[in-house]
Amino acid sequence: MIGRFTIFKVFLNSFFIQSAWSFEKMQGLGFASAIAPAIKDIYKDRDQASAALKRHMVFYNAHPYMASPILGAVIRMEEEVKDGKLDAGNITSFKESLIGPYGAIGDTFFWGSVRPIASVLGVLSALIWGLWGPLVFLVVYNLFHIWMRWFGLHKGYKLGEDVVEYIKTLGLPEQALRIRIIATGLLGIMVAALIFKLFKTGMFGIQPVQIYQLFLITGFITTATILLAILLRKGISVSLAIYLLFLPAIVFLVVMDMLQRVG
Amino acid sequence: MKGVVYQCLLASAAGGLLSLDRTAALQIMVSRPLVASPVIGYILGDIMLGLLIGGVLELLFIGELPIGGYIPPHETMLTVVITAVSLIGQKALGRIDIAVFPNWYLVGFGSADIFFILGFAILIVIPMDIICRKADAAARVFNVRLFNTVLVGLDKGLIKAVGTNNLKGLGVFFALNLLTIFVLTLSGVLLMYILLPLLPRIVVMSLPFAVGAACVTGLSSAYSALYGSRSLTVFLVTTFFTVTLLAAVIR
Repeated sequence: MIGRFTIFKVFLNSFFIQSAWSFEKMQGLGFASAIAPAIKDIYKDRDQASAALKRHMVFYNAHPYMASPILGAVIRMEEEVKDGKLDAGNITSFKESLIGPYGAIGDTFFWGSVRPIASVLGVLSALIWGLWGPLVFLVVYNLFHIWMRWFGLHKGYKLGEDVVEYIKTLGLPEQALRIRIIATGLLGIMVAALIFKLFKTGMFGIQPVQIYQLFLITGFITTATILLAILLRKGISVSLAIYLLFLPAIVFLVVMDMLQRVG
Repeated sequence: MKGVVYQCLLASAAGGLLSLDRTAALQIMVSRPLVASPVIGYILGDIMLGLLIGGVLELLFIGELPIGGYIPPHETMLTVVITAVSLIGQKALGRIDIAVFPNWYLVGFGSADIFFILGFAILIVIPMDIICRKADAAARVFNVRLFNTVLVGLDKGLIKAVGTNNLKGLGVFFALNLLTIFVLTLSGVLLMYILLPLLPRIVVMSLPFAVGAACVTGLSSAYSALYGSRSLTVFLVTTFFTVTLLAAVIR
């Protein structure tokens, strides 16, 4: 059994799993570096430790946070290899089998759901409470992030290869869908808050505001948002979208200027 | 000029460190525009402008996912450069003479001359993403050498080589990020200093619309990133319900 401090060192190292990310080996070096304290603890002999680390010096790539349960499970498996209960080849095949699935789960859950909801909440908070916005964003996001790094590593170490079943019971893809729907609702609230903020600062040049003007502007902004989102989903980049929206502004101003001169 | 270079260096150093969070270390999201921009704003003397830029860019880059080997737009570098160019450029240029603009126009943008500067910064910096991505890719190509060095070291029983070379990767990312941000920020400020006064009045007048365009694109980008089977209904219902509720409360 490795010590608690060693597990803590692996936890800290897991934050640097992408430090030497390369196109060829991706997180290969990072994974070996993260697990190194545990390997040194398990194999007291330097040659055995070097050989074990070399096993991990191969191509590896998964979502950085989802590497934690794998790290924990691999540490448990290395202990079994040392005790002669398991063949070292099993570790390699275990890691390889999870690269694709854990990459996909992590990307969908963390990048595709948790980050957007934290971003929308952060921007909404910034609109209402100013500088508290970034803090709200960081706290919401990192609750999920640190949970996976910490508990994933511990569960992995406790359960070994069975951690795969544990991760399955969490139902992360289903949770991701729910989070995305909540985030869409929050985005709607944010749009409404933004419209009120703009009216309050006199950006639309209308004071006092009539109810129909409020709904007209809301209708205009939501329609523009949805139509542009269709274009973005069709593959145009956000940079191009900005230019596409900006160019009509110049045309509009030229026309207004000409009309004023004629008038 | 000395002051401009010093401020560019300050922004680059902070930006280089913040950019590490994006791939190389931590991933606690301090590299996201909503956090990075206020930090740069604080360093350069206007934290609230940083927050405004950060909010817009956060939504703009919400849907870009670093899946597998794909390198998405470098939102951290772009954020740092846009914020730095806006703030340093504003100080370098002074206030834009709004007296030349017609009255109907000033209703909306009045004395908010930062929107001209910010609009210009967005338009010139966004295409620079190609350079940011190339710098990021260069670090990822270079890091293979570190991997090979570790393999040689392990053959000699040098276990420490694993940790030290992994951390060298951080240094590679930091150096390239810092250098790229410095060059792009300085170029952006110089472009603004030289180009902005030369632009026709009508183009200068249209610059704040670039900020509006970025806002609308940001909302669309966020909606597009969250798109699903019930998105349209949820989005429309919550927007109009909140507007109605806020209108009722205010009345």
